Amino acid sequence: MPFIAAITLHNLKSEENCCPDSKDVDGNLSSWYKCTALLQQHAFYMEVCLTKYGEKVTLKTYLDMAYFSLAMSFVEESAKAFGLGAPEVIKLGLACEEIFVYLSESDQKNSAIAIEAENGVYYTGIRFLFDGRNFDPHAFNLTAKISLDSEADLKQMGLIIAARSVERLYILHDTREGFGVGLIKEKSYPGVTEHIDVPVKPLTNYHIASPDSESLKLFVRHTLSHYPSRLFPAGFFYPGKIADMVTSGRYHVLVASDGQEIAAGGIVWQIAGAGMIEIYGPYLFNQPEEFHMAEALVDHLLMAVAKIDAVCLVDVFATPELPKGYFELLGSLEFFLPDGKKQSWPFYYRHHKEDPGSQVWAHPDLLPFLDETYKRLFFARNILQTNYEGEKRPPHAVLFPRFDRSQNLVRLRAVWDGTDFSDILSRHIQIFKTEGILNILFEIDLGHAWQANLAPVLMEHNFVPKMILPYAGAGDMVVFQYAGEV
Amino acid sequence: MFDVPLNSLVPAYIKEFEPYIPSKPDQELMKLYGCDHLYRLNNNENPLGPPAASQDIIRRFWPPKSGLYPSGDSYYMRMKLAEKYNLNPDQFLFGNGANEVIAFVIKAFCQEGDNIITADKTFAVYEWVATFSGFEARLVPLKDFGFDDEGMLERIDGRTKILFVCNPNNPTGTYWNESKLRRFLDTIAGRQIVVVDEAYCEFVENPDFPDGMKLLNEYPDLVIFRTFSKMYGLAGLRIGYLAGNMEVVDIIRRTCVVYSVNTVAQDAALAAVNDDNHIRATRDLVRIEKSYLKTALEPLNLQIQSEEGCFMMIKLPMSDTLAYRKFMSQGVMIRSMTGFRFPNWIRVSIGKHEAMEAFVTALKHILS
Repeated sequence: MPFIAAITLHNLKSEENCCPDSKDVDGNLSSWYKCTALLQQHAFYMEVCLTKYGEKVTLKTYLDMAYFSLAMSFVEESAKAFGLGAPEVIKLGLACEEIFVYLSESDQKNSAIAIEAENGVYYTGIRFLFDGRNFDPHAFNLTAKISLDSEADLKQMGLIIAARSVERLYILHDTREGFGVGLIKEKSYPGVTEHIDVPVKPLTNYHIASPDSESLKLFVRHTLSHYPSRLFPAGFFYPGKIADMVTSGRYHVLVASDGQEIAAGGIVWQIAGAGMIEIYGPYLFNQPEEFHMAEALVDHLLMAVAKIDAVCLVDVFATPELPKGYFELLGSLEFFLPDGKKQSWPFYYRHHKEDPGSQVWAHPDLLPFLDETYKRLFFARNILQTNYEGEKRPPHAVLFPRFDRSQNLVRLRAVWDGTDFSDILSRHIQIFKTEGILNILFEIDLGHAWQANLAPVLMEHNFVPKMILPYAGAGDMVVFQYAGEV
Repeated sequence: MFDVPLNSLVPAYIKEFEPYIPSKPDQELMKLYGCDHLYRLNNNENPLGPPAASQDIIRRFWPPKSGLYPSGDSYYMRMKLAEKYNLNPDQFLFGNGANEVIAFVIKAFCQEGDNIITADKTFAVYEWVATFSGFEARLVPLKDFGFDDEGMLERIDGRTKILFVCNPNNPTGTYWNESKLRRFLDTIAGRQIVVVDEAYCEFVENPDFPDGMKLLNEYPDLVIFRTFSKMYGLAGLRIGYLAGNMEVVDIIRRTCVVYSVNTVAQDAALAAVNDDNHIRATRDLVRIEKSYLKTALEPLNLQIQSEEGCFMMIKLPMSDTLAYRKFMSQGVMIRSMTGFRFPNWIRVSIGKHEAMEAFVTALKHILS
């Protein structure tokens, strides 16, 4: 087998493109130098790139069990160098083992594979990139059932273990990114044990800026003290994690202060993918409305993102302080509290650009909802109807859930179409019910006809269309909410 | 060995960059928004169109000429401008609209690690071209809606190559008078290139407004941008130019794309250059309709920012992008200003009276 007998180590370290903490970078690199000794024994190709927010390293080898140890050493040493704790390294290693073994025994055997390890600061990401033309992702379903009598099923059990050992597992199928399987394993952080009780004075004069790490953590603690948990993301219970998320570039925060340590208010946002900016807040601590701090925070946010390639902003945790006149009410979900009571969960929206209008796919069953919503929101859409007409579909659907335990919420998306979609959906609902999850959402992307065609099955399972997130996917996304027993 | 994922070929500054998506053609927009007419008040186009002589040139264009290359460096245009401004023809460089000459200047003077300085709320193309070319764009906040000269000077460092001043500024309409511009140029003292974009200069009637062309002989680092897209109504033909010191222009010429200005554009612009009647008629229309608009908006108690230029900014008590959609549904196209870092503001171009009335009616309806 022809291997490339070379090791390339690109060190792009400089003031602008390295980790904020140079000790970390040096430490990580020394781990890598150790790693290269191992690599030299096997003769293949490795790249190390340090980017603005962290490092990404790539191992290129072949799907052959002879290189199993090598691949696992690469994963584990990367995760350690990137700061993952020992228990998390073990879990990530376990997941990666299962994926490597699965792929090595599949039709991919002996083919080329690239394993990328990314330092996301608060997580380590591993991606297996390969030629995926014959890859069956069925086993990644949370509900996949394994028959002990079936050898093929037993092989797939490993992938189920992999899916449950990490925070997030996803399938990559994209012209830009390539094809593969990705895993995200987050670092563990100490949670907030007690509420902060530092008084915040009303500020007539304040300036708005990005906080340093300590001020940021203080801002997070104040938010925990002043707002109920349904008004901020679960990560807020771990201030250190939020600080790392800001360092990584995932979260962005602006706080209003008088230049001292204590923030009197703030607002948080992140690029949520596919052109959407998610906003949390604004959060104000004892600030009267007439000081207009909420408007100032929103104005600064909008100016900060003005040139970002995003289509819209959605405030998913809008506080009562959200200023009037900036956002439109997109729609509301019914949010079920742990005691079974429900309250309205409004989503506020702001289009980032001038709407050029677009085309969406829609199943006829969804047309009345789409017509009403597009008219109310003044969105120009050319709706193309779609329906299955007996054509061949893949056998296995794959659904990926994203859990937010603090909100007792799960968001489902279909990542693969399949004729067993209805069955897979039922099983997911059953699992969520068993786990006591009361808020179950399903999002479909009207930019893909096959997803638009899932609408009637969703409605049969008592999912109700609640709102449209314009341009949130390849096209608009429709959010369905599970309304209970059929 | 692998199919190369596209992302691995793309520089980071390109990945993060927001592509500019132009609006769809009128017919498509009208279909999508369900309206039977469309007043375009979003691009600051001249409602009178090109001068009569230019229209005549366009009408009489001999189709076989399309098979021949145009003059590669807009030869006759440069001669004409040299005569008009008493400069040397080699002091001018033409481009496919002024947008193209922005790229010429940045490419000519900036290399990795360099920066340019401009305002945060101004014509976006200086910032865009610098950013997607991999250079830092240092943005100085406007002061009282105008370019902040002191703020710009403070941001200069050893890697600053160009300062861009939009005079009058799009979208606020503010301008630096001659003494302020001279002070700025004196302080820079030739250490950086200073670009003064005079895209809207022909709309300004105040005597203290500086004529950049007259300053070129005194300030060798000064570069002036002008366009035929605004006052001369030739936006559809794409023709603009820069003027500067011979040595500076000689450097910029090395990055200039030749043959990028087509024959019709050159001929039409040539016919437009000395048409002072067209300028007078356009100024009159802008003055009258701006006045009408201000009066009509008065009862609505909205904040207005309107100084020079053929446009006006209005702050709305609602999202400007929602306002855009609502205006569109009534057949009026305005510019939402979030992208200019003016959230909840819109910019409306001054059009003919019928268009202005349609705008006012639509605005009242939206706010009611």
